[in-house]
Amino acid sequence: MRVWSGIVRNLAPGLAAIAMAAAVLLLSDLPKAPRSSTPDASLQEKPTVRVALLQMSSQSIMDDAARQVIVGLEEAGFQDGATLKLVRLNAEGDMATANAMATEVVGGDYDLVVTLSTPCLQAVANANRRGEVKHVFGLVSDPTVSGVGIGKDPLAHPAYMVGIGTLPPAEKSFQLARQINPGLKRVGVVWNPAEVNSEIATKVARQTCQELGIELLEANAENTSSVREAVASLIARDVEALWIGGDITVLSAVDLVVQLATQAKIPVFTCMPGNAAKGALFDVGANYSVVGHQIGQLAGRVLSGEEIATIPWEVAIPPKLFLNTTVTDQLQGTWKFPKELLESADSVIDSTGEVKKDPPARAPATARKPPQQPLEKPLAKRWVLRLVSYVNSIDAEDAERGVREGLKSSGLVEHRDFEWKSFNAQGDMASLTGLVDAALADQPDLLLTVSTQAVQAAVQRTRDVPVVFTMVANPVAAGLGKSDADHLPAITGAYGVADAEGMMPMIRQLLPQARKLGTLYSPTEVNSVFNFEVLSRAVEKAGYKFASAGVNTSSEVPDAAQALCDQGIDAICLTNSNLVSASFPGVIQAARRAKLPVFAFLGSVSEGGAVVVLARDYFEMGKDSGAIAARVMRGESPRVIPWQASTRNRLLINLPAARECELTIPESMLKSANRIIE
Amino acid sequence: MTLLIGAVTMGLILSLLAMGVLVSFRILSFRDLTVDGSIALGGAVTAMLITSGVPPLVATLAAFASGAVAGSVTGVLATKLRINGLLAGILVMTALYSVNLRVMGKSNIPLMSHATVFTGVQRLAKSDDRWSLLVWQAPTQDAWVMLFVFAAIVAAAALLWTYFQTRHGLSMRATGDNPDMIRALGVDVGWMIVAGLALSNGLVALAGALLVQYQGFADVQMGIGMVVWGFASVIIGESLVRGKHVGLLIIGAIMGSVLFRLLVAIALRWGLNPNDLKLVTAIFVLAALVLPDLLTKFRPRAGKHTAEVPAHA
Repeated sequence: MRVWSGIVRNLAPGLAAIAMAAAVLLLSDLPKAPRSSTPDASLQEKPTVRVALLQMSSQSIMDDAARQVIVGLEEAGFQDGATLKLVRLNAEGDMATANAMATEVVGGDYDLVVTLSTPCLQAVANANRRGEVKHVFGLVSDPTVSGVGIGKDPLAHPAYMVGIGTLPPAEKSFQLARQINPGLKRVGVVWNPAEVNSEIATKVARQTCQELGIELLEANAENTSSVREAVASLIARDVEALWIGGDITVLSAVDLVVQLATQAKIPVFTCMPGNAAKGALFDVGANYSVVGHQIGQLAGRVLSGEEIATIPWEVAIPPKLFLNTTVTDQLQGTWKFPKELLESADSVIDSTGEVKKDPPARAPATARKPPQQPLEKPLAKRWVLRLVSYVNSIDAEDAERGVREGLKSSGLVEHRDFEWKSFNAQGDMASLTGLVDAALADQPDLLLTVSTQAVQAAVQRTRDVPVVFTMVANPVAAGLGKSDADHLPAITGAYGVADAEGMMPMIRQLLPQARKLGTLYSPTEVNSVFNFEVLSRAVEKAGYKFASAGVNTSSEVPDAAQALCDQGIDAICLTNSNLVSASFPGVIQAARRAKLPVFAFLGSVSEGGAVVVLARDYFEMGKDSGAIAARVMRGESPRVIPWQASTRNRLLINLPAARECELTIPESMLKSANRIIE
Repeated sequence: MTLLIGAVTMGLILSLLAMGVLVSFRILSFRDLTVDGSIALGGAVTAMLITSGVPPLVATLAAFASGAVAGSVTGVLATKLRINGLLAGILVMTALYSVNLRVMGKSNIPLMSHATVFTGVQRLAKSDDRWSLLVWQAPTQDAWVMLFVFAAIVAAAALLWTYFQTRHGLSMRATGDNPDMIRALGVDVGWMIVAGLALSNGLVALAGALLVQYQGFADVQMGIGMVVWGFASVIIGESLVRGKHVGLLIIGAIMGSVLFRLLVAIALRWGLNPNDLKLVTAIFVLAALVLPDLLTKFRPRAGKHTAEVPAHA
């Protein structure tokens, strides 16, 4: 006994200290009041009505529509938190969850349930067969075939349920395509068989195509990541155009579809406005955001006491036509907009940008809303952004500056649209995980990471918070996904390696007699290794001999550079790495002694004495990531944003450095330079 | 709460590092810098084996073996080739940097899509289950992982303690305390140091193995600066417990490591200017070292206790 009490007494100070630290940590980690749309009822003025908004999944198009529902409600006088208590539910694509949510909202003392999409309509209608709660539905292609008791007649619906149907004008879209290209014979469609709306639209399309004598080739995509393959398979089967009905999955990856189609020189036409601006030939249909807005207004009418039985269910606003004339030139076949079509279109995009037709005077204000929010518009909420870096280095600081710049040029303003805090692990791997935890404890809406290690730590610690990365050379090798479009759901960002291949012709131009190039790299930096591999391939391909030296610490750089210069090289072509860029003066001194020109890929070393810099650097990459972050903040789901390979180059030329190595820069190269140091 | 659980888990994992440093630094009185290399070696070996399909538990144990080999090399350099102990450690640490790159084949191996020793424990809860205490919430999976790591550390500490009660372990302790005496008793001091360093670096590599599985990737730079945190944990630990008994020292090292990670977490949580992080960490460590002493001084009665302790021991 005495021994045990002795041990306890011996351990007491330690245990007390740990308990104290834990308590401090817990206190600083007190959960904040929820920031979202569910303020604590007891503290606020009692809301008068309770509304549940049920959506099936969080694709960006659905989220946009849901936001517009809320806007519509607000316009009808139901402000969330004041006169309305809104509960948003999202089944995240799981039918069982949707059913559970339906049961909950039906028995949950709500004044109104708003459902978006057919499965949600069906789930709630099924749970609500006794009409316990009022129900407004939307984003449903054809309510009459959804089996919930809605007939063709506008008033043929249950007395507790009304809504808006949005049947995509599939028929109309094929007729238009025929009008633009009378020789059209084969059209491809990618659609997700799990989407009821899409199935209905595709059925209509099959029928229409048969009537028009068009062969409709189909390919299925179960999720956004399989869209690429499905589209490629259609292109391989020689389709002359691609059609997108109301398929949410494919629309979420529409940039990809357009990109693939452009490469194959075929057009894309859709039943969803907003895509012509992204490179589709034309859109004809109703925008889901606009429909969402109408649903919100309809919900407002119901909440204001209008009798549901007297409200007709309707089909959404007449479809609108959006044309993009910039696409036709690059297409195979004869695609030409007839004059009357150009005149009747609601909007035409030509090489000068979008030319809006005079909107009909009586059209509701909302219908004119552009599909995308104007850039300058503040976000609906202030986003909490946290940035995690792994090391302090020039590159990491550049990348961070780039991210801020990217957000700014996307029209987002600090303190108005987001608040920002940076964390830096200062190269300590053990702190990195804790750092991510600390960043997460602020309940950020979005996590930004600089460097491969930081994004890996972030992925390990959270699955819920979206992560946008930068300063990553190869995200596939970092284990973040399989390809640009097929990646971990919450992880996106910009990556890239220096444009080594682009550099080779310049070296050849400046040094026609050069035979051997040399570089320094840091074998322990994952990014440096990728850059190095890319460079060595490019050098080999260009027919140069190649010498390299690896460095592990900055103190080794001068010696390694000297050793490299002694290997009979004709120029140094420096790959990007933290270490080498931080000790660049060591490189340049050795190069000067040997009268060798230095070519590099990092903007910051141009002034330091590199003759030619082809910068695809971390500042640019950061900017790309910032722009991606802005897209996420404007409502796109990171899952459907493909990773972006940075491709922009800036050419920087240092004339004094060139003179020192007795190089003359040709006029043509000077002309294309973005910056010349005199 | 997530932050607390994360910090405690990390502290427990790194307490293996602290125990390793305890063995070399306190038991053998050997300042071993191999640690920076052997923790990354443990991580590298584990990551490489797991990605090539070896069961995670086997991979973790292999990490221990690899660390033990690294430690014995340091030991042989120091005792048989009579190289200064500090330099021997630096040499092996430096060499391990390249060895680790060779082992991994590249500088970074992601483990996110592979099963680790924690996978089975995480299956006890669904990924979105939350565990709550009063107003705090945390993912249940994290809590299970923490309990699992705690159990593993308790087991490791118990094994270490048991070893130091054996004849071999006692000789090792005596080697550090009084090499001349133990040599006179016919024990080969050199091999004793080699064995001690093997054990020490094996523990360190084990910490590396758990660390990569916890953080989901291995990176060749993960060892940099680790030895310093190991020393800090051991020294903080000594100020936290009263007495020099080996069991207390082991517990102290664990507590020191956990407390250290908690302090780092607090510094992180307060969201100071990121550039000040290490300064603040250093100040916290200083506080942890000085405060217990100060408290004893201000409470005169506490002095009596310390005086009584030897009577029990």
